Amino acid sequence: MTEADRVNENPTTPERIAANDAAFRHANEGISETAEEYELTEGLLPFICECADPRCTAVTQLTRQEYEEIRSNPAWFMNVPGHEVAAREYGRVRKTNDRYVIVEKIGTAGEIARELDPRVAEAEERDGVA
Amino acid sequence: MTDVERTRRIGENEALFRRVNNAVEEINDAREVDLDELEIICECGDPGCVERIPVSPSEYQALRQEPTHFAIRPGHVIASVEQVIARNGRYWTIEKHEGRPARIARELEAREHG
Repeated sequence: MTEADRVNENPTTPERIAANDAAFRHANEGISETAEEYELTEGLLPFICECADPRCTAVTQLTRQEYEEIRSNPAWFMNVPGHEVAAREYGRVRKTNDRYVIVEKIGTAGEIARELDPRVAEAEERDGVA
Repeated sequence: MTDVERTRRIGENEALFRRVNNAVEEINDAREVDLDELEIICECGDPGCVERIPVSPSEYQALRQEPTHFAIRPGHVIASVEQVIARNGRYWTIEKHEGRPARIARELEAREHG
């Protein structure tokens, strides 16, 4: 059984939640890169909700500065308001406004989020961390 | 902003929405579940618009066959750069005018696919 099969068998594990979050974050990194490439750096940009519900594809708007603030911490994820409940006991709310909620993944979910963050891997490679 | 710059900015806004919608489709594909419907966002040239449009996966695939076609909510058309080529109750399909608008749409689509 692969790791993906194991995670899919139990949709409420912290591993499953973290893997789901990472998939949305990957999508949003692509959106952010596209916006930067087109120099759409002013005003609000559309991003996909990074909540723990694998069926959610809600879209909300953030500035690139707001998005980068969230991405500055590998355990932080952007949720559409109300969607933070999907993180259950594996997340806690760090910030709320009318457009989005920042959820910090905690415990195992937080550790996995860090492991799956491509920016962490890139930084470690840059710094020569094994 | 000149007409050229405005045309380009509209094209870039629409291309960004297309990028978001492709991401939504990729997420749905990754779930390996056959869904009857995707909730894409309106691909109009207004950067502040995030209205949702329900489409079937086949409708979305058909839309993406042509880089100058975009799905918008009814009424969101910008007549100076695009024309409506199909309508239904959920969305209109627009096609960028030949010339600069279509060229920009094709260029941005090609760039996204490397």
